[in-house]
Amino acid sequence: MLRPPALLLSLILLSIGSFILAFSVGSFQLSVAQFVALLDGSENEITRTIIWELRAPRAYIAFITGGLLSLAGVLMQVLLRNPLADPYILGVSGGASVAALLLMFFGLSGSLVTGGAFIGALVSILLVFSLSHGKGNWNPSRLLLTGVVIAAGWGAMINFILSISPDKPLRGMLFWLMGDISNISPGVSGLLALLAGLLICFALARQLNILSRGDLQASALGIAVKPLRISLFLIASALTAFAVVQAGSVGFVGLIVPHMLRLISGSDHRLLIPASVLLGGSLLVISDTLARTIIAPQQLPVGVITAFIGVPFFLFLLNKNFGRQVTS
Amino acid sequence: MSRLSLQQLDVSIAGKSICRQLDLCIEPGQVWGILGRNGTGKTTLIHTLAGLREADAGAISLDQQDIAQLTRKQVAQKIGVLLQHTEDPFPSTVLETVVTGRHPHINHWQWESREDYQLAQQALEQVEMLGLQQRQVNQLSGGERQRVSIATLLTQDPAIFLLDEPNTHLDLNYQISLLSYLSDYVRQNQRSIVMSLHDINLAARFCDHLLFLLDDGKTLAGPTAKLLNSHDLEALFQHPIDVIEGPRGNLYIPR
Repeated sequence: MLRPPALLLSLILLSIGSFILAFSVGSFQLSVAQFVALLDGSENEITRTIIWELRAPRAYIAFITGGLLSLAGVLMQVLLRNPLADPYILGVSGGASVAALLLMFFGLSGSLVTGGAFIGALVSILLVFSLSHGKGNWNPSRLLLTGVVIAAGWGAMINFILSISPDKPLRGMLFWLMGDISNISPGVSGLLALLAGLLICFALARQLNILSRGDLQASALGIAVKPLRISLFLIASALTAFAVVQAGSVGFVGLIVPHMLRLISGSDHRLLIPASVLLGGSLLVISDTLARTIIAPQQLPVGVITAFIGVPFFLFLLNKNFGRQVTS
Repeated sequence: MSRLSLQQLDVSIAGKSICRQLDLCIEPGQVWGILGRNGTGKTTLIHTLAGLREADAGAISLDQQDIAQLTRKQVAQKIGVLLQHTEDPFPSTVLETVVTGRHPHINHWQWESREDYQLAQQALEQVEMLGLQQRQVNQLSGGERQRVSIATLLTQDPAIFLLDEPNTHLDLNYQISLLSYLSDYVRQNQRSIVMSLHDINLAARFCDHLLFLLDDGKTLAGPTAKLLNSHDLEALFQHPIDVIEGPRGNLYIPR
């Protein structure tokens, strides 16, 4: 078990390392000397363009997406009190996907699809919220079941749209669904959402520690459970919506990163929250670098890579166990 | 020092009445036992007293203030609850779990201080779990987990202890030692206990007042000596009970 400062420091180093990797590796390899020259601005024009206009924006989007998803995963797991919850479990990505695919079906692209996906995510959030928000009874299982059923409904609609789509937009649709960050223009909305989410969640961290011990116990220890749960639902859903419109549904990050950190360093959310953002961000930067290099010039959707890396690493951790027992 | 009083309290669950127009005052230094058959609503009543659920009518006052008007944090600073069920879905150590008892006493932006951890360790020593403080809670046995819950409550250090079946999973020696410690502690420090129990003999030994939950929302409340007679006990448990003189007071044995 790592001490908190050591863990955070190594995750910061990992994040920096992931960016260096993303900048250096690709069809055009960057040497150490070139990398240093890049930072002091003395590298030539072409290299600068490749790095700052192609690789840097991608790494930036990847990091933010990974951070958003991991943070949302932490919140969803506490909200549903279930280590198997991921950011998509309540159907946020399904709503976004249906809207995005519909727009792609009608031949639209770019920011229209992004905007539509965001609206789709909001519709899904409100739908799940209003359906599960019964008379005073707002417990994890009711929320989970409502979300899972709505997600299944979106899944059916996604399959419907895919099956009636002509071949031309189909490939783009599939990449969008699998999680892809190859053609996105970097914006600040995702970054702002991540920073705001990080601040709010860090402020709520001790309450999250208590809430993860059950609604009754949390209430007995002085937490206003219902308002906290509603805020968690809305924050987690909004973070997921920002991630989904940036990069589609990138699986595994939001499920595995928080859980991995819980195995390594326990469940204190004051550590878990910043650590998840750093690890999730780095994981997605590294995955995206692999996605564009592993069978270059062919590009893979980043979601495929996160699963390839995440699954074995997670299983390894689970079995090694770090002297801790996991329940799921 | 805090006083919990119930005025004309009506509590029911799923259409079934648990108590009607119940007036009761839990004074500092008192130890109350709630006895009743399965499903008469002992747990529901304890949750209601803790403000974890709403009463149908009437009021519960904590030091003359309606509990429904107080924030959860204000209530938790004075009332602590030992719940019957715990949930540990995520990895957490025994010490981390016990120190959560300090939550109502710590300001929003504060972290647990050295003193908070010391209080948690004292509580763990009290329940003889100090040696296991770095263990994972989900690796504990039922009895050990129950002692961790009791230690969490001791760390919270409320004025009013609400204990829902404190003896669950506990070995005989811990049943006696922990109940002795808790009842002595509240009597010496002007705190109070309200606990649900199944064992009449433990109630006779540790409680100075009893509340009987009979069927259909009927209740009986009063000093232990007055309520523990074979007539009222038989009405409560619907089973004949013999009262035998034992070495330390009366013993109550189902026939």
